[in-house]
Amino acid sequence: MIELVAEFWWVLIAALLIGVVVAWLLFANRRTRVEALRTGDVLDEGAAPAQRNQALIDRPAPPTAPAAPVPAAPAQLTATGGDDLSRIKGVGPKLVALLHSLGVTRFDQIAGWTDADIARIDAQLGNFSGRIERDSWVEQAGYLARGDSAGFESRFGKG
Amino acid sequence: MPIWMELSILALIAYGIGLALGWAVISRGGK
Repeated sequence: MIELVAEFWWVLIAALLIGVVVAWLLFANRRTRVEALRTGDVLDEGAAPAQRNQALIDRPAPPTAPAAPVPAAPAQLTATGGDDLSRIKGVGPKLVALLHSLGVTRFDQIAGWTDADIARIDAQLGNFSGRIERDSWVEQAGYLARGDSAGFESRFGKG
Repeated sequence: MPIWMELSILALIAYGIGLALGWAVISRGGK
């Protein structure tokens, strides 16, 4: 055995090194993940991010979102045959008004959107850009346009 | 026992020691 070790010491050293490298690959990943989590504490950066966020919240609304007709528009249009677009999850009063200003008032319009339509509308949503895809408007509107409340609720929850 | 078998057992042991050594170094460094 001793002679074997003496004769093949380089094989053993190589095996040892491979072991170290494998351990490094296996456990270095885990260590960086813990470090990444540790730096994620909001308090680490002090009050500056909170102030920045508050400034973003207080920032005046972009010109694409008309401020004045917001409260009146939805009621008016629903009274004249449009759908209550705020039933789509993720669509609030501001988005409803914005959609109405773009001529979108019914679920079947949204349900029929093609990828090109989505891109065109999305470009005009300003701060709400990306919501169509994120909140699956087309799918939601499909259920609502068909009047499939049960399907809608089972897929997207009550409300 | 043939020589290759002895040698592979020794290599396996060395590999295990390396693995433990690497783990020990990394886990201490990460604290």
